[in-house]
Amino acid sequence: MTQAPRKSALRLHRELTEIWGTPPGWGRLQAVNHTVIGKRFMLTALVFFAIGGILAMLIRTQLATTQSAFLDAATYAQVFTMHGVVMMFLFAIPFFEGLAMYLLPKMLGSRDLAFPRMSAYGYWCYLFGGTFLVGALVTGVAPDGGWFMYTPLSSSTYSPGVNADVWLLGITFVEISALSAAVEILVSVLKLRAPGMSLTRMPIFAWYMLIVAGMMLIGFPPLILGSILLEAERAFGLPFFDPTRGGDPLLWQHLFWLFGHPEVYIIFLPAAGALSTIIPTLARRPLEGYEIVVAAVIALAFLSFGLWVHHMYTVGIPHVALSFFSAASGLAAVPTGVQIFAWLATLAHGKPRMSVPMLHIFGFMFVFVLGGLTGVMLAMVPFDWQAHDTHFVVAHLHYVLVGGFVFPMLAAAYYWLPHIFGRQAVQHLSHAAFWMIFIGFNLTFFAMHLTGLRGMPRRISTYPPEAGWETLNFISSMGGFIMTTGFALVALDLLLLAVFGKPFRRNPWQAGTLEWAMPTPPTAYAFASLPEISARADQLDPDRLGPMLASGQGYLGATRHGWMEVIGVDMVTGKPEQVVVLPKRTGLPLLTAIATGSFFALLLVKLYWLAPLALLIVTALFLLWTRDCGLKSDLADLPVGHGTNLPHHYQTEQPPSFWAMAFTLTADATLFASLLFGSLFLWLSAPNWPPESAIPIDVTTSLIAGAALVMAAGFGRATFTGRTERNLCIVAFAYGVALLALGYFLINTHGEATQHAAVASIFAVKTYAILHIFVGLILSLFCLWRVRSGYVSVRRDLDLRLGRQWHLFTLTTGLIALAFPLVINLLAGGAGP
Amino acid sequence: MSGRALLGILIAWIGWAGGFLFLYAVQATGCRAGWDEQMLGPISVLRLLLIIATAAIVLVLFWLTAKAHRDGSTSSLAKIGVLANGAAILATMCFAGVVWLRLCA
Repeated sequence: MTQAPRKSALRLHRELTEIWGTPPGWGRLQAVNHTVIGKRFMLTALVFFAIGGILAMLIRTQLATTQSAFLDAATYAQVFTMHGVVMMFLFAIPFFEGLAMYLLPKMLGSRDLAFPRMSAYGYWCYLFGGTFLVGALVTGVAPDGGWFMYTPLSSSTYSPGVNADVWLLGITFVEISALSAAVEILVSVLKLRAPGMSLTRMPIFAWYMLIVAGMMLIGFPPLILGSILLEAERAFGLPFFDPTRGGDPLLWQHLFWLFGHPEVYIIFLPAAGALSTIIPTLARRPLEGYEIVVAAVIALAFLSFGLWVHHMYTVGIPHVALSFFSAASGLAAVPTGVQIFAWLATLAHGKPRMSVPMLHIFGFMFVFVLGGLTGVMLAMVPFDWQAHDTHFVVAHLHYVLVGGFVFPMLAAAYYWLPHIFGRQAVQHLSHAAFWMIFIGFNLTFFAMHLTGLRGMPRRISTYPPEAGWETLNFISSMGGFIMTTGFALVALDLLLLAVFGKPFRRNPWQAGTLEWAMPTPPTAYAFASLPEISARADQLDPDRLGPMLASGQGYLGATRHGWMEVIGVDMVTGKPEQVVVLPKRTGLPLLTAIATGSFFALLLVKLYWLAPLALLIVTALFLLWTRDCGLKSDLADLPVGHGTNLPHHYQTEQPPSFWAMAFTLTADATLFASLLFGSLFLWLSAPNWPPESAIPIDVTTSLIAGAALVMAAGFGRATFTGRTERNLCIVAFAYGVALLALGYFLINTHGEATQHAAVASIFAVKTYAILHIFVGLILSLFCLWRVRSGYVSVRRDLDLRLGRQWHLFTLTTGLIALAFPLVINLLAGGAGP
Repeated sequence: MSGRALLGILIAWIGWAGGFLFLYAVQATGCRAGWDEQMLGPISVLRLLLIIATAAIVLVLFWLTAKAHRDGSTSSLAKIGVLANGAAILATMCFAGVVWLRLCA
């Protein structure tokens, strides 16, 4: 490299660091950068992992001997519940979210994610929600009904304390971060890639994360809905799960497992994505069957949504319905097997480098394949009936989750920690740590298969000596302590790596992915300039690309107005189509998360009258986020280098926020569909239907609200013209009318809603509509303000188009909500027993 | 165009998921309404409905797959689409139980 470019590279580095960097001290609270937020997610998840691990040790100590007095039954119930909650919700999902946030922009040749402030908001929600849950454990009011909180045990009759509320509110709070991450990842992968990186040139990890994010978008809303309904039952007496009033406990199981089973794959697939990245690098050969692996991951994603009843075989579902779920459960082994054979073929055709990540990959192969085999056993209904709710299931799920997530993540940690710290492992402890975890794990959980087959149920705190389970349980407990010591050694090893590791120049694994074409540890801006990609992005040459990009020879190799610029591309072809200008760092995500947390806290302490105030503050804070978004005048296309000019994203048809709204509405639609499904399920299956009293139908208010919604959507569709302000006033007015009409209906029926689940369902559906109308009202007033402030023109009508998406969605769901009482009335009257 | 291309690789699986829910809903509604006890010759109305619905789902998936790949593209994305959509058609074997298994017990 010549002197001149080096000087220029240094100047560029300083300018970019000034723009993209996070200031020290209190300024850290304003961080929105993906590298910072990704690391925070992973570190926080590891802290929760340690907490979950300590809880596991308490469980194993309790079960090591018969009739143990170490923990009383009530404390034990909190401990095993929180072990599951922490590991599933506070460790596994957030850890891979953090890894994805850290890696994706770097692998895709971008500088950040599409919505950095949302990443920061999601992180704070996760941290506060997790602290909320763990704080409850410390104060002795932690959830104690199992990690899946089955009703009626978790209903107020049998769990009158706040323990169940902590779960319902805490998990919903935490899941805000999962949903925001899902939208963030989807849009970032689809829109923010290096020029030329078509979908099929993406590194395989991006494919995995794209599919996982889509699964999260569909999988989490049923859980959030279930939590809201159960909390509504506990707090306000709406009887969705109470069979004496037309509810059904099985509705909870359906809603929970609609989330819960895809969740297993949501956890496994990112780990598989990491393996599909690491194995080819270590084997020094491209991944075998790239296209087949992508197709297999798509198949697995869809199949995972057809398995939810897999957890409910014993609840009395007819044979033919069981066969759908059993067959889908068995079929899921096929795309999983395709991936495993692709990895084995890559290793077989390559020249594998024996290293610590490879050791953990071996651990994964052994443990996960065994877990998969017991999974196929449990997918078969007759076997499941025998093993249901025994320790065999506990053993199976640990083989799948530890095999499918923990071992791959350990491989990923050893593989990518040099990237994070800029240092390579000294590896004095790595091998010993691996073998302790591997041996300890198999001792713990293989023995658990046997106790399960001998009939030991899950969740019991003691067992009698004559049961004959003590020796196996003692072996399990010893294995557990060996495994924990192994994890402690890993923690020490990684600490040593961070402090005393060997510095390296670049790309220590000789990988072909873009994250290695940058300085390590990475700079805040990731790439000084963005690459043009003309081959598959896991077969590149980071050693050649790195210096070239650092010297500003790629796209966006100069700064402009202090803007945080990245390139937006066509989703499929990767053709550059816009300059996306990201918002600056700010403390607003933190403040908004605090306000969001106060909403959940107010609900927990039952100050229901004050909770809407917190929601209004959250809304106001979100509106403040828009202060530095938008343009007040039309801009000419911006030069981005290589003779290319691109429009500012505010002046394009489909900027990232357009897709973010589309994906958010997809999640929203899933929640609404789940609500309708739940109501119809109650009609089909719940006892005590139809209700004794008539179902309230108010034709007048429905007609008024319906007409108002049509008017709002009709005037909200218009593009920017001289009449836009008038149109937006009409939209706001129409929403106001709809709010009043539906509000009147709800006030009149809220008393009846506690009498029977049919009315409660109608109440819930209409409340959903009201909330959407309220947001529509805010959006229309916001657009009015934007128009008057000069942010909107014919070329800059993004705000109006986002509003249009919302208005159309509100119209569709609103009309369904208005017709819903008629449908329920018809069904209850027409086909009642 | 981009949205369509993406949809093309998922379309049969979306159809499979829709078909899965439809069959489950028809089975549950049919049992509630007693269609399993109404006979049409040797076969109950519910079983007949489920078999017809399953056959229709398979045909629709074939049609959707053919439509998504009618341009005959051999690109990498098209290859992924053919593999994924073909897998969805094969996965309709999940519904085979409608032919012989007990419908409402």
